[in-house]
Amino acid sequence: MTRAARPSRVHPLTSSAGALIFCWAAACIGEVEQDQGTTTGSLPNASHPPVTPGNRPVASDTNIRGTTGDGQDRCTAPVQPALPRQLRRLTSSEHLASLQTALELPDFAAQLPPDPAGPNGLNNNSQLLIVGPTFVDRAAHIAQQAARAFTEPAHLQKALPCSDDVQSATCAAYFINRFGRRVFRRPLTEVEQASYLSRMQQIQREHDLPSALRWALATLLQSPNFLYRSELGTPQPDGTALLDAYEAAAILAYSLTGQGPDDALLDAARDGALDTPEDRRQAAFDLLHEHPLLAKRVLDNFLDQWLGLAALQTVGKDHPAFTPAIRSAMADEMRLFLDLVIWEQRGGLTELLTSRNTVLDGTLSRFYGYGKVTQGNRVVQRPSAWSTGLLAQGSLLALHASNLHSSPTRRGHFVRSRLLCQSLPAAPEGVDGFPPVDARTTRARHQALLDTPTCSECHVLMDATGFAFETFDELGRLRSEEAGEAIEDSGVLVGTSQGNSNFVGATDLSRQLAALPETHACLAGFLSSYATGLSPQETQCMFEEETTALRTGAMGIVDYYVHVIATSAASPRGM
Amino acid sequence: MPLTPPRYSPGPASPMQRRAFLQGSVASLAALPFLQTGRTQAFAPGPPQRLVLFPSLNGTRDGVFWPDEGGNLQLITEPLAPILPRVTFIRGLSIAGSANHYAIRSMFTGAPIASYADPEPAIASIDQLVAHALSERHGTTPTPTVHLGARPALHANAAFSGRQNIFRTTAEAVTVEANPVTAHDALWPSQVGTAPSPPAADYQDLTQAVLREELTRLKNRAAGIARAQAKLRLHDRGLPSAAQFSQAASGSVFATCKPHLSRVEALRAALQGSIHTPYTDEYFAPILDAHIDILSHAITCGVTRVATLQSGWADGNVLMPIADGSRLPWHLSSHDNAGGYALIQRAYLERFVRLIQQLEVPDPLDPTGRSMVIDNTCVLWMSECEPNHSANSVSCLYAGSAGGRLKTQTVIHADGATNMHLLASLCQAYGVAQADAAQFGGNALQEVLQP
Repeated sequence: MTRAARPSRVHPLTSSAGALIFCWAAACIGEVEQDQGTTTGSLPNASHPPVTPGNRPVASDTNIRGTTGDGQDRCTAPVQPALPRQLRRLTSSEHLASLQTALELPDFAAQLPPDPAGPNGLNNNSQLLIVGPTFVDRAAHIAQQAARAFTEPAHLQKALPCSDDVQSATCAAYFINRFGRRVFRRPLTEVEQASYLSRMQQIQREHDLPSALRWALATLLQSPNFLYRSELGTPQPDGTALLDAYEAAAILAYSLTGQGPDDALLDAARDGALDTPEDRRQAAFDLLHEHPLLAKRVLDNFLDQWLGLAALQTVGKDHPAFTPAIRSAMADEMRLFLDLVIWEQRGGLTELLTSRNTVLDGTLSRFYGYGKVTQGNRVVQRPSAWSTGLLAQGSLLALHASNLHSSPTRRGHFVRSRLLCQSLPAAPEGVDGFPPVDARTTRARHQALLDTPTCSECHVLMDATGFAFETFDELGRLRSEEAGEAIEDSGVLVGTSQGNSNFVGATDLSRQLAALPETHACLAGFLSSYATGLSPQETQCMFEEETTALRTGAMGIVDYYVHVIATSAASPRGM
Repeated sequence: MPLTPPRYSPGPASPMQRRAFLQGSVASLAALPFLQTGRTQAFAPGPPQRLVLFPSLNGTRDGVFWPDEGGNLQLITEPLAPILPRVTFIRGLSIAGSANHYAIRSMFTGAPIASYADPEPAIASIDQLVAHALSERHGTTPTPTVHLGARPALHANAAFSGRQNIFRTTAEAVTVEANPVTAHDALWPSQVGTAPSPPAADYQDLTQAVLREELTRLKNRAAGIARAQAKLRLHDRGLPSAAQFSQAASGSVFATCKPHLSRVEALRAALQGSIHTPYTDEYFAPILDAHIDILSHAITCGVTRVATLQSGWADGNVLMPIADGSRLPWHLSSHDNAGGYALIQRAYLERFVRLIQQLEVPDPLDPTGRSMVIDNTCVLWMSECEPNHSANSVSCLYAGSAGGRLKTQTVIHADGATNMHLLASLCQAYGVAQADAAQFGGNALQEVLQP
């Protein structure tokens, strides 16, 4: 059955997909013993109405079209810019997943060089994903490994039954049609087919069919047609380039499942079911509905990179309580919190910053000093003293602290760089430590930086923001005092589109951040950058409608991402 | 002092030849009288060691160079992944008695250079000391040291006019050859004008033929898209050359001693006999690539045992191609474009990796046939300073164990150590006589040495 024959569906996350993901992740079980205000958790209702390809939200406020940190309008050009024509090398994970699915070798393992992180920390920046001598070598080695695995007799017989006849004159052509199409993500052209088949016939004459298949597969897997996703399109008289159906299928598949298009999607491309922008939009939502766990893995990868969560396992702490089990539990908490807000509640950045919920188990609850939760992970509602949302997650608080003390500098830097997309200068040469002051608390030491003219210019951006989190120590635990002095968590948020504003505590700061247009534009930039492989600067103004919907709450993060992917697959490219 | 880079010609020693990029053994010995006697330490017999010095001028930023706490490579060093078992990082090393870009004169000599105005040091750099020790132990090679540079100065007439020299004998700076065609023809004079070997008719050749056809078709399809074209050009250059396949197919590394270096030949028409053309931006990257091939072949087949490669010059703005095909000014980027500069360094490190991979062949000079050339080699990457001009904790790594005498696949935290300690360690690893090694102070960085 081709994809065109499937009935169209409503938005996938309105039905079983979201609940499936959340229950899978959070276990949805557990009892909470009341302590320090912890309340029994319950799953909140979805906060957004479903968004379908047919009822995309229309920007209700076009005056704010993604402002920068200084409040300037980003998109004043009268003509909507177009995404560029490009070749995107597969990331390491896409490369491996493509091999596994195309060759029906789900357990095939290989080690590709790690993908370099771009300036915004995302590792799928098309500009940096290149094929140099090193990558050529490694890709060749892996291609040969995979070709050997595929032509192991047992696997070959199962995947390509015609290979039983080692003298078969037609099996090679069948192989190229079936497996070549999967590897290239499109049928091979006549010239390409002739190129492979003539050489396969030569090898088959000199050896046997498996040798010819092994050679062909090793070559296909080193081909630029495999290594790069084409977003070149076909030039049109109006100066644009239209992506063909196979190129669109590849965008949809990699962006929503992390692997190449399957046979059904390729068939849909062949049968004309991906020819129109509407077809492609519908296919994006179909994919999300059919492969929610794969889509979740793709977005999890984004969230890990956006938030820098991988470092949690290695961040240095001189404290015996910060055990590997606690690190792991913190990572789980963050993952489950993100699942809850992003997938189950269909939330956006406002919900991420202001949610009163988190997901704890007993160990972590006791570690934080929050109370007792038993029997596994449990959705709990935070008392007011615990602050709210993403920025109160223990993992982020521990990550952005020193090994011995909390760090308003690092925590403020995180807010500036990842939520406001502001770039801060590196520490100047020769600067080492704090001004000499007689200070017992972290806040007092950092206040000394703000009181030093040469330091304050930059530190006011970071430390004055990071003071909000002083109620959490270097391990992310709640505290009311430090060195015998009461915690002071007021500060000032400077350099935003709304000017300077005072706040008291992390809850207030998170609320103010959620109200700023630039925080939503910043997340939209990260997401569209991840979706397109371009830098945030290159995607500015590309997805204005979606960005406005994200800011106003008409779309959650998942919806925004899927709409960006759909727009990317459906839109002509600039020349 | 010559105003133009000399061209090599075999014959009696002369001041010109002593400073030539191919440092003739007689000339070098004449220029290094203090190395004449009593320097060889006890050293077990074995295949000859080799040394390549690969300075990385203008340094790197910490956050994109050193492996993180989990051992993960960073943006610049990610290309090291396939050769990581060969690599050791040395973190925390400073350049003794110097700083800023004038530290280039200190990094391999150990001489304290306190300012741009300081006079040239009157001591030899370690390449000369090691070459001499190796020739004492194993006999001379046709060219004891080879010094190549991709645009190693602003222009030919400015080359080696003083205070910009990295490598030197006691008497004077060596001359760095900028023209790969000149270098090639001097190293392999019998090869001039020979036809390329036909590629072996095996299935690897079939693969390469198909891949090149497909790249060509894709290039045509991407016509007019600069970034895609740049990617595909880089990809094309990354494919093994016909000569490499010929070598692999023959199974004989001696084939590399009669090389047809396609990257050199591609430049022949433009550069043959030219002094000035190699000092133009247009040829910077192709020359750098050609030099890598020349070095690897010269080292592998024993034409020389010690070589250096200089890319640009300290605080110079050669335009380096980066991954997206654009070209960035090297030195300016180090100060005002951290991201672009990281891509410059990454592109340079990719050349370092390619050199190592080309040394990953059975050592033709090992009679047992058990070792690879890289096993018997050390290729040292070191910077004179960081982009902020501090000479503390400069970027430093090496690949290869110099015949099993250096540790590999490790990160050494050498806070407080200097280039003097590292150079003293290399002297021990290469059996440089104690009297000659004394200029480095005698205290080795033991952490790099195999017990």
